[in-house]
Amino acid sequence: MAKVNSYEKTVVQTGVSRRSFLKSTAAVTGLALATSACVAPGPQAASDMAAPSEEPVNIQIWWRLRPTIEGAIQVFEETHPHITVSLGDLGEAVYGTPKYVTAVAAGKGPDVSYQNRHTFRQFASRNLYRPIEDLLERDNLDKGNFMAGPIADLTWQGTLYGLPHTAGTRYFFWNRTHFEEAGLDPDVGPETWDDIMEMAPQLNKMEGDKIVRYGFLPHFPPGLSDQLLIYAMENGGVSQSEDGRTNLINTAPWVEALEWCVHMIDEFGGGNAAASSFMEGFAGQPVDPFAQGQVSMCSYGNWMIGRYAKFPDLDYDGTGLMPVSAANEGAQVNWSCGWTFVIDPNTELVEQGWEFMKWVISEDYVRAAGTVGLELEKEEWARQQLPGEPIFAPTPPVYQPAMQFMLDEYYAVLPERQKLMMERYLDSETFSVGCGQIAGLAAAELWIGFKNAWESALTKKQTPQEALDASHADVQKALDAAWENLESA
Amino acid sequence: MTTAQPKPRLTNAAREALTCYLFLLPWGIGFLAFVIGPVVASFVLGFMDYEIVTPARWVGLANYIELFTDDQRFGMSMGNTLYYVLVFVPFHVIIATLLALLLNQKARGIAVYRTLFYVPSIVPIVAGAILWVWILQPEWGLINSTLRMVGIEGPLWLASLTWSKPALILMALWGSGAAMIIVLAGLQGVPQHLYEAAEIDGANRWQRFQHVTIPMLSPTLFFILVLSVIASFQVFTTAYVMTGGGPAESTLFYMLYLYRRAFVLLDMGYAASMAWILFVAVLALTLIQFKLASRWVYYEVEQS
Repeated sequence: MAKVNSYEKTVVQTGVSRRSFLKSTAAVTGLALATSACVAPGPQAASDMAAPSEEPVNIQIWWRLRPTIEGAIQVFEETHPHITVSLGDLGEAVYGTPKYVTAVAAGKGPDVSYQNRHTFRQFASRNLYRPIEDLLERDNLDKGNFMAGPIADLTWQGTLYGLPHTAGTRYFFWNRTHFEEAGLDPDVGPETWDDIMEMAPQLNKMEGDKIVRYGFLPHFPPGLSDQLLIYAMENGGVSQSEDGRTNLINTAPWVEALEWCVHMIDEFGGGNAAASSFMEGFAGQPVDPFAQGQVSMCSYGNWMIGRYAKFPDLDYDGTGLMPVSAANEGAQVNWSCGWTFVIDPNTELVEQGWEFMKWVISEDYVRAAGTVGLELEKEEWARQQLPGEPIFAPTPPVYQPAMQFMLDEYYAVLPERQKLMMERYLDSETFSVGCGQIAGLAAAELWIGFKNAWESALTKKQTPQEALDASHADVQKALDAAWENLESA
Repeated sequence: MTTAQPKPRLTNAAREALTCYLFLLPWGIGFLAFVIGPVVASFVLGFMDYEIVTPARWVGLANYIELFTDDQRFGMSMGNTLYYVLVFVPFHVIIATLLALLLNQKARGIAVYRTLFYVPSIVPIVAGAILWVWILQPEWGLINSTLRMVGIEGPLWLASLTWSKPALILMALWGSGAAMIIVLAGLQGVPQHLYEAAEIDGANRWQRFQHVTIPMLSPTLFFILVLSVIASFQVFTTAYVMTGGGPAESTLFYMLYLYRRAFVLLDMGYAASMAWILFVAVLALTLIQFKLASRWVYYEVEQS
């Protein structure tokens, strides 16, 4: 009200003209905008942290919302009465995190956020996450207690920027029933590309001249845009030079891998039109063609070990040891990725956020989420009237004590087949390369580059070499710019 | 003895003006802060290298030079967008007009038909897009299943380099109901006596349509044309949801590419320069449309 009165007084003295009104309004707004723009948020140093208060403090956490998580958060709040949690959804977050990035840039990021490791180093190098080395050291949290790959993914120039939560690798599945029908040993999956090429036509099932069951399709699962990476790795490809400055996705191993994928589709998949038409049929569906028994072998992820168990007609097996090319025979190949918790560089609630992060990586979280998850799984099995006991294989944690709890509590009681598959997965984590290290400083461009090259080659818009040259040029340009910006900062 | 009357502090006109401006103030502040501010900021950012999370750096015309000389996707995305505009807009105007003519009849239950044709335009665009992903699905989608019944093997639609853009255009045409309503309103505004006069002069049905309906409807059609061209240049959501710009960037429209540069690749300065190029292009096209309008748009008021 005071403002209105003083404004009125001014009006009385000077009269109101449109020009003076607009001038004053623009000046006030401009001043407000300029003032707000000049307040530059910066990363919070450990010494500036707000001291824990007596009153419950509310922290905002962006996560991928699911009932399991909401249940686990309730447990956290019960065991940490001085902290309350406001959960928000992270939104799209695998190949970039626009919601998080814009929020942090505006100084309004969540105190703690879930992040994927696909683009982690790119964003860590741009100060989107608070370094946590000081907190780790203060609380004697040993990096050696985490899987090594994820810790390396989250480390940029010697500094750790987040706590890894979960991990996962590629996983090669095969349908045991189909193998038996084709006279193949159901206990032994393909170990090389040659094995795949020999098995795929035996597993194909035809109706007239139409393939109604595919032995193997490289573009699996429907809609995923990074398949090219695993095939290139299986052929000895690396994505960038050791110093992270040169992109290598148009080198021979990559081109050969893409050529092999195109060849597989043309030779054993009835060509791209037929194979894409078939695969498009499953895009956006909750089940994939392997689960439905319409593809006999596929390259997917370890998280499907538990999910495929919900299909009682599916007798499946799998390994984390991916089939390799003849040139790379004997190599142990895989890549690993997963989810991570980070602290907003601008938050004042570092202590509370850190307390939550330590809890969420621990066995306490695994127990809380597992309890809720198992109940939900039981309900799901009852709803679908699935036979037997629910097979519950939650996402593996990265922190070793939590992993041990997971092994003892949940993986140990899995049926023998799934237990064995989970062991094979854990073994694959020991030789997998982390996606953060693969992608480097031009990560967002790299994932787009994979997709573009893949689609261009499969649709015959370009040859594999041309497609990869084009993607390489894009990524290299972004990589050069990233390094230049970094060094000039 | 007379006492001097105090002079009113404000005249009625001034008080009225003040009230008016006070009511306008919230909008004015919002307009400055959320429209003019970002517009000016985007113009300045177009001359900067700005990655959102790092300080902006002045680069002069570098973004514009790169766009025109060293960015293949700029031309490609503009080409994809022009294809969309050139195919969608004529069909959109024609379909909206034909539907309006059809639904301008005095038939039983006509309100129900009008509602049915209008409903798709109020379906949330993301929900509509997901629905159309299923309709266009090559194996068992509604369109290809229907085509298969008459012996035609339909295309891959969203998975095809050739058919992905037509598929998105088809989906957009499904939402022509909003334009149809506007044309319908225009049709119902055509004075009946003009038709009666034409009929007395011996004009047949087609001649009445050609020489009465079309001229009288031309301002409405012009309005729809201008809005459709502007909206088509900004096509984004359907491609973002249904194809992500694929396959092989065949549906990478200008706005999708701009979004990718701004929010995926964090190249906000570059994206700002793209936005200004689009603005200039759309403004120029709109001015050309207004210039050409005098040749075919008939305003009754002007003539009288």
